[in-house]
Amino acid sequence: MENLLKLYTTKHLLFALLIVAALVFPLVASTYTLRIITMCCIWSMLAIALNLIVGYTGQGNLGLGAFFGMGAYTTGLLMVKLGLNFWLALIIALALTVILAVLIGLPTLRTKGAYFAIATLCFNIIFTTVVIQWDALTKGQTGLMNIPNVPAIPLPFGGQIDFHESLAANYYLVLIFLILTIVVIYRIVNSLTGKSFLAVRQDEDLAEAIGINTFRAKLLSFTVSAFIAGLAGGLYAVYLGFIAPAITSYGITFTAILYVVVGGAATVAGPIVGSFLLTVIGEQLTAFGTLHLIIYGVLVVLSIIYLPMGLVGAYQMFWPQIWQKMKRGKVHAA
Amino acid sequence: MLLKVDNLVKSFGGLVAIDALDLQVNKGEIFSIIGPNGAGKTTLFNVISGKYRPSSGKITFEGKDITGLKPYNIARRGIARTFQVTAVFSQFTVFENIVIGHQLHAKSGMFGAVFGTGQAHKDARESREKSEKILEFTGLTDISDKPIANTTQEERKRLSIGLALATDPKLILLDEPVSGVNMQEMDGIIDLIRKIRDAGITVCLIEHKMRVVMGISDRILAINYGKKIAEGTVKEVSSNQQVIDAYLGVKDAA
Ligand SMILES: Nc1ncnc2c1ncn2[C@@H]1O[C@H](COP(=O)(O)OP(=O)(O)OP(=O)(O)O)[C@@H](O)[C@H]1O
Ligand SMILES: [Mg+2]
Repeated sequence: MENLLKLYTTKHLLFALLIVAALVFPLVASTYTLRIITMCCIWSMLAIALNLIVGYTGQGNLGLGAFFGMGAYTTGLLMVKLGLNFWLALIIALALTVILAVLIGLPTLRTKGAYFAIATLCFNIIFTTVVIQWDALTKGQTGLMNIPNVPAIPLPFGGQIDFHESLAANYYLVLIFLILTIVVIYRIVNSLTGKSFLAVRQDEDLAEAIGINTFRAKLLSFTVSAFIAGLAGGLYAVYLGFIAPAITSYGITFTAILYVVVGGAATVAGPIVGSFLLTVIGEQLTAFGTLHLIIYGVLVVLSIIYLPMGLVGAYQMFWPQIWQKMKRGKVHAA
Repeated sequence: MLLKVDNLVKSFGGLVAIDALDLQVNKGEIFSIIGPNGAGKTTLFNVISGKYRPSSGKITFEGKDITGLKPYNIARRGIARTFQVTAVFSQFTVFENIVIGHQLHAKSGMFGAVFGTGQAHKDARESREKSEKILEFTGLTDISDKPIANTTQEERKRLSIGLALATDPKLILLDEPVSGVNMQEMDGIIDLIRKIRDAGITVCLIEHKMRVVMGISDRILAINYGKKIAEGTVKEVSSNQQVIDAYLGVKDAA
């Protein structure tokens, strides 16, 4: 029990330290680094979304890119076409993303395994095609440009947070949403609802037999996942100010899958670790020119072969054993 | 009368697995179902528990029609079951298995957990308390933190029963709960089944081992090819000529 308490508090201490580090980061980082880390935060949110439905609930959703795109395009279009401010646009975009998720989830979640993966992949391809073809609305392949910034937030003691000038302001905005997402996900996966998602992944028949409405659980997980993906999309649109159809495609989902697998599926930290690591490594490798994708691919494959549970999964698996050994070593030494 | 099955039929394509079957389970008894391999015993459980829809017929539980309801709904009405191939959540610990077994009683949902409402805390606490009781009842307290990978077959058998009990059922359907365990372990599980009955939960049991069935049952139903061949007390059924021919006789010859 005492050990458990220690473990619990170390976990929270670590989380608090990481947040402090993230808060002071813009003071020491270059513009270039800050840009990359902001993108890492956005990809982390997408990977967290994927991890909920795929990692925790075991449903191979290959349509998450469409929900990321839905969040991005709806936010962008409402701001550009209707002149809504970011906050209002984001709220409406998220509401529409949730509605779309329920409409897509209701039929596709009746299928299982590979059929569900194919059904959601088809949905995503249709979605991207619509975005490309609906030129009048989306500007098609050209992409949607000049999405305005987040409106400046006036400070109580004079001055304002200006999202037009300050990169740090945008970084903080994305960071706050990432932290909120982590807290929400942490609470969900540690709740009975989260455990019922894990139960559905392990054995659907048994889950039903103990009173879990497995279809409802899957739909809930699918919708929350789409909501988080849509939020990441909305932030992406306002942060970059430009979006193109490629960000709605299934390629986005596959990128997120890599992040989750390398970081550790069905863990809270896994998708974040994976997103940061692979994005940063990917950036560093661009120095190798065209070779970089090959090296990147080899690294990912190696990590999947040797760490099938991902970095965080392996840590959770082996750390208690190493810890035990260390403790025993100390006792012997004493 | 707790459970009533009327004129139940379940066919798979051309194969009639349950053929116009009637049965009644009374409150507080241990009701056993026997029959040779492929007689339709597991199929009967699958239909009662909602895993399969019946082809025709009616199932009544506590006077209410439950025919064709989904398994989760049937579980919520108070019918729990175990599976012939022992099923537990293999990536959970023993304790986590029992906790999730009790989740159908939680009044709060996902939003309660996200906002940390009082009800959510209450639900979590109640499910932990209930789980500790179930662990105690099923004799699993000592291995409560074990991952499933490190448990024995007997422990998994007990756990699968505990998981069913965690739903707080009025009727529990046990599909061959003592298959694959040794004699001594078997006696332990038989005691557990008696204890469940004595705790006021009605037990419906599928079992091949005659020694077990004859020793524990209040009443027995014998089926073959999905049809009833006998129903009654241990004495009545064991002296039934059809049962001896179809089941006991075959066993003895084997
Ligand atoms: N899902 C299914 N699809 C097709 N046939 C099935 C299905 N489930 C069971 N059957 C058939 O129904 C018949 C009854 O099977 P059931 O599993 O109910 O027998 P049982 O009495 O439980 O036998 P055992 O003692 O071997 O467990 C068998 O002929 C079986 O092959
Ligand atoms: Mg069977």
